[in-house]
Amino acid sequence: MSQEVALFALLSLITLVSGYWVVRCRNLVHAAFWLMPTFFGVALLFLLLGNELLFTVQLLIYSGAIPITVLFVLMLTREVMRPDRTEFNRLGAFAAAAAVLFLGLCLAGARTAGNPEPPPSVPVGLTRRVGEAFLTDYLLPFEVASLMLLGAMVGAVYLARSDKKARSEVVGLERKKLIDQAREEEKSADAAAAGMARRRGDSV
Amino acid sequence: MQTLPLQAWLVVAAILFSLGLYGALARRNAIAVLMGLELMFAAANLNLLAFWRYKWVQSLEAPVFVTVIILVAACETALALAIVLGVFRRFRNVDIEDVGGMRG
Repeated sequence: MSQEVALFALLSLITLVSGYWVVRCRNLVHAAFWLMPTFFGVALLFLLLGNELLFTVQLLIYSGAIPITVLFVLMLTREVMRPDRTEFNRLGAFAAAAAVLFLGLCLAGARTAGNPEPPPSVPVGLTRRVGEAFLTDYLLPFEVASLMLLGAMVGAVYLARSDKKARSEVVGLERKKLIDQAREEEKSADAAAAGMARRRGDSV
Repeated sequence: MQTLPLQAWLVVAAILFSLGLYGALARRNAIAVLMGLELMFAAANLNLLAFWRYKWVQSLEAPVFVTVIILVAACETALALAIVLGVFRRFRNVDIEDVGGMRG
């Protein structure tokens, strides 16, 4: 029994420390990598609660897929991150106060939760029963969820699709800037060459 | 399980939720705000499952509900990241303080 307490303490420590680094890390790539141990700790806590189905789901989706997606978007928008600038907005102190206030409220609420005696074990074959429930009693939520997943996928592709016009505008602007720059350089090089030729003529 | 009170789970979930709240409110980058939201989702799921284990272990509502929550959160993350990409393409910036074009 005390083994379970030690495991719980270790897992919560991992989860909370890496969660702290997710919100405090200045480098967002590091923060995205800290998401993985956080969600891994949460997944193991689910396992400690006796729910192996949600342990697997949490591990696959949260500990695997979501940090990778976040890393991809960070990679695509990486020019935004500037090491010289703080990563926290001007409401940082208020945000901390709000979080502490919320934590106090939650702890006050947790004290009133009572101390229910947990059943000694979870029912056998929980995953099977949840799967059967999804195909019988919860068929409508299951279908709605699958439709929503499809809609979200199509919507995400539509939103993230590269906008040809805007992109060509940006590319055109950049090209114009480059051409102007090259012209300037050419002009200054010409001027330098002319100056050199004049100097040479003077010396001769 | 006898020696571990329900409150222990609730406290861990509350701390995780508060960390996520702080991250969502205090960060500049929209992607970091999303990371804070993810932490809050995880804390809510942890709370739900703790109550399931201690009080309603025979019912299937909590596992089904948490599965649907995880699915909705995954959809939300995908769409939000796509919107962040769109905003980045439009403004060349994803800083929530600088991108104020939709402010009323």
